[in-house]
Amino acid sequence: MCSHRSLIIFTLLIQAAVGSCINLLIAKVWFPDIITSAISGMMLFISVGICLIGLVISIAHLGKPANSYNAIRNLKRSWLSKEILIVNFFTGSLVITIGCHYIFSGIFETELLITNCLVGLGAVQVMVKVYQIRTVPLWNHARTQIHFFASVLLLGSGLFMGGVFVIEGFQMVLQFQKISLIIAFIGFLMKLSVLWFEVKSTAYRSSKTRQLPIFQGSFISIWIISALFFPNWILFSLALLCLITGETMNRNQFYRSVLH
Amino acid sequence: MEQRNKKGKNSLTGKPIFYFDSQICTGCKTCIIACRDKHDLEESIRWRRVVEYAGGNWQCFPDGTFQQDVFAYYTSISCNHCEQPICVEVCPTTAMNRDANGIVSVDHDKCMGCGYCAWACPYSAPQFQKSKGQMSKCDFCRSELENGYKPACVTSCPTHALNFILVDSTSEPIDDKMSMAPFPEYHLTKPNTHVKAHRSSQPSNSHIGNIANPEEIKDV
Repeated sequence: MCSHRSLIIFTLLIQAAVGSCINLLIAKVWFPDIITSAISGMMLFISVGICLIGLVISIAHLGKPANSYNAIRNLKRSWLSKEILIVNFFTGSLVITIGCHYIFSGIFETELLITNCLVGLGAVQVMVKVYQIRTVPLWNHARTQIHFFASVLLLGSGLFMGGVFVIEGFQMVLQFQKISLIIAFIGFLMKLSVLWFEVKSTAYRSSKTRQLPIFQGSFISIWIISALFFPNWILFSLALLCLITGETMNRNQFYRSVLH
Repeated sequence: MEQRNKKGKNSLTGKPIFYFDSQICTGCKTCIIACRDKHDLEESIRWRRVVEYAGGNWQCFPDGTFQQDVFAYYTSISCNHCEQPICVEVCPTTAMNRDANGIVSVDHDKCMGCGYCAWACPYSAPQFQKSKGQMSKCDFCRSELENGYKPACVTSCPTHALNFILVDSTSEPIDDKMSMAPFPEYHLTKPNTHVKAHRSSQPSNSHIGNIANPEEIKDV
């Protein structure tokens, strides 16, 4: 229990990987001619990579990592045991999809991607349940769920478009970017909806715990400006920086709100 | 009270539970010192804490007189060895366990120090022991009990506000359930500590008062 920083990184990375898979699946279904094999393969690699980084970083949170092999002993009752198992299962399912992509030339790739997305969403839901503890009223609320799933959409869109720009450059058609923008905007609206709960709740009256999605809004605004007028790395990097800052700050507040 | 087992140690014949009389506790914190001394705890760890809950105000009347409704009371708290321990429920490794006598303790062969039990426990009973990298908590001074002695905190209490009783199947049920501010409602974990409430005690989730000594009880 060294610090909650490693948990911030772990949760955000896993949620970004799940969101990236959702973006890839939607883009693959809507724009099968634009989503080339190179894009699919690279995005799957990036997703697996950040899952593995997240899992390794999460070990830093443990006081005695040598005993971490016991972590799935309480699958029946502990959501943390279930989370560890399902996140590893999600990473494994992505590896299988990559294997099929390269070894069997993308056979059943859409079906496998659907499975990845479902397992990923299941992993995020289990992640939510880890924090919805009946003795912690600030976390045991629907806003935890909304926050986490909103992060999936926002981070996933940012990661996916960042990856696509790295592979294809900024010449991607606006129509294609629109899909990821809409997904990110839904995430932003979800973050806004959480504010309603927080204003209503007496426990959240303090401004210290209120989580304004200013940075997430800036991410979408800068991305739109970049897509419409100035398609370059500087603006898109700035947008991504806003997103990462906003999400990290929000998640940090989330953890700090419950420190006894 | 006790029987000798095969290893030569006494085994408990009932379930030990703390009994705390809030009415006569003076908040001297001797129980905290005794606990830390007995278990040689590192600086950041306080298995037992004394919480001061205070509130109320002064009201001025038009005739220049004052009336007050201020109150303050102390509660000495450690692990309550709950009937439905949330720490046991959430622990991913099953290191946190409850034995046949109802004592909740940490199995250090399994604990990986994730701290999830500390988040979940509303009484902040499990605490992170930096030297071991694992969780630690009150074990009801099991060794003392097995040898027929009382827990260190109980022995040291100068006013006998803190006591313990062994409950077995023939014991009469006790009604003094712990459900007062600043602690959560009884039904959440069903704590096994029985508390004789102070005359000024407020119900759980009451916002009339505040914890007056947060620096003394916060996690370090």
